[in-house]
Amino acid sequence: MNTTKYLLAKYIPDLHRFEPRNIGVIVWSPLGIEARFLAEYPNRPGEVDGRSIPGFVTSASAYKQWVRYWRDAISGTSIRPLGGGDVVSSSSPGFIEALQQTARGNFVVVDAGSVLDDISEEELPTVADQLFAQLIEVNTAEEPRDIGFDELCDSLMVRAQLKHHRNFHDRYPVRCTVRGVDEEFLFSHAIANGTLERAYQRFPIPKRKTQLQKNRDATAWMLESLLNTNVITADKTVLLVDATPEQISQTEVDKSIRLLGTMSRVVNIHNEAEALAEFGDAAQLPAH
Amino acid sequence: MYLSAVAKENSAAAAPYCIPNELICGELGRFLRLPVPPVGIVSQASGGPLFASLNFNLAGNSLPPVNVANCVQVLPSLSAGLLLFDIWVANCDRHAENFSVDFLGTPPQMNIFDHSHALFGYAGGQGEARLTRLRDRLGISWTTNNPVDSGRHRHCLLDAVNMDTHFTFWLDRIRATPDFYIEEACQDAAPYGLAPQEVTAAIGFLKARRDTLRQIINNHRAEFSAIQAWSLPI
Repeated sequence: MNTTKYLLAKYIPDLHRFEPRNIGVIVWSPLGIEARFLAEYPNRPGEVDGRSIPGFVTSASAYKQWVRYWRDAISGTSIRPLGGGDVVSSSSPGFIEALQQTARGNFVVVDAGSVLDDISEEELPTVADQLFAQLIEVNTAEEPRDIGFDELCDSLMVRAQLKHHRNFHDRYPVRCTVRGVDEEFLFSHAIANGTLERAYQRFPIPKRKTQLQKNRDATAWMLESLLNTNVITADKTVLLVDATPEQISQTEVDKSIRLLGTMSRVVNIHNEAEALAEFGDAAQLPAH
Repeated sequence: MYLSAVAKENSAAAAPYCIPNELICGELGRFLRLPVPPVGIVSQASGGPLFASLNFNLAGNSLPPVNVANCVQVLPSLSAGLLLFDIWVANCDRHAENFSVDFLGTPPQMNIFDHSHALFGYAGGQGEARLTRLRDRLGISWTTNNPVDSGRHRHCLLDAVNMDTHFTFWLDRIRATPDFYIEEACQDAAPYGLAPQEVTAAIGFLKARRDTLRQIINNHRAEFSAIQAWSLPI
């Protein structure tokens, strides 16, 4: 029987408080090693999507370097223990101890246990996925705010002079009655002075599928409610996304954008020209 | 704006020559244009001296150990430079955790720190004797068979640097270090725990090795286990 063990990569945001957070899982067996780390691009091990780094991580640069370091360490056929001694083969149980020795300050690797079932080499990726979902993803309840998206959006609006429009508003409230209940929805931005001339809603694309679905459903509910009560029209409502081609190729992202696109126009600010054209047009709307 | 620094003091038990070692090596490393952060002496509230090195890691998070194989591949010249510098100053304590490489930087960025065990070593009162014993040795090639002067760690790049292509470049730089620079770097470190004869010994040691480093390396080629073909003139 092959013993399959797993280690947890942990991040300690504040060394004085010592409150480690799980950021990755490494599954080891003599047959192979599989690992999953938060914010890694799918199918690009070791490469971290800066926008998906958890909010509790205080240094994105250090986080990226550590994920790269661990990936390099486990992709080799052997490791030299930092504490000295002979090179250890990756198929040897000593490899786990050598990996644990890499712990340093905010970033540590701890032995978290063994999988009792006999796991074949082909099953290792599935085990890693399961452990990652069970031990890592569920514990990062808060989705990181996409600061890059916000900053890009703001800078494009400034460049297009949209923010100088006399009727431009951030966080613009719109009220309607849904099935007899008064509701208030907040648009990210609007051009309005009594009459709503343009409504912009930012739609961040989280990495986690469940969070994406939650965001989509909330946005769809808002748009549908406002459309049904004739408070907005689809041509004057714009959904802002910052989606890379890689993100758009993901089924769930594509589905979400297509669904929301039936209720509003969609502008992908990842395409700077497209965004500047939209914001430039809106900036020319007559002030009233 | 405030910048942080890492500060150290002499410790009778672990690093009795910490300040002079750090100060002299920091100055020499920077003279060679190796990426050693700026160094200097600051005073504690009690008046005692501290060696201070500018903290290059402003994020405050620990950085990973250096993957030395990647380091040699990505920064071959700096890897050779660090190795030869450590031989010059007989730094017997270079491991993957007392230098750093940000491989994701553009360009990749190395930072070199911690020379507290170089030159006079880490045994109190034995500084001059160490310099005498190591004069013609590498001083970085610890194995279980080697005596204590070569430290507790075999230099992490000694078995990783796999070509001597950049050796001449760094040997020329080391050889270009002026006498006055070595003399004043050692004399300036005197108030921080050195006896006059130790200052003299350090000056003699650094000048001699500056001029004979090529020969010392050639005499110990076998220690550079990853170099299969040598081009360094004998």
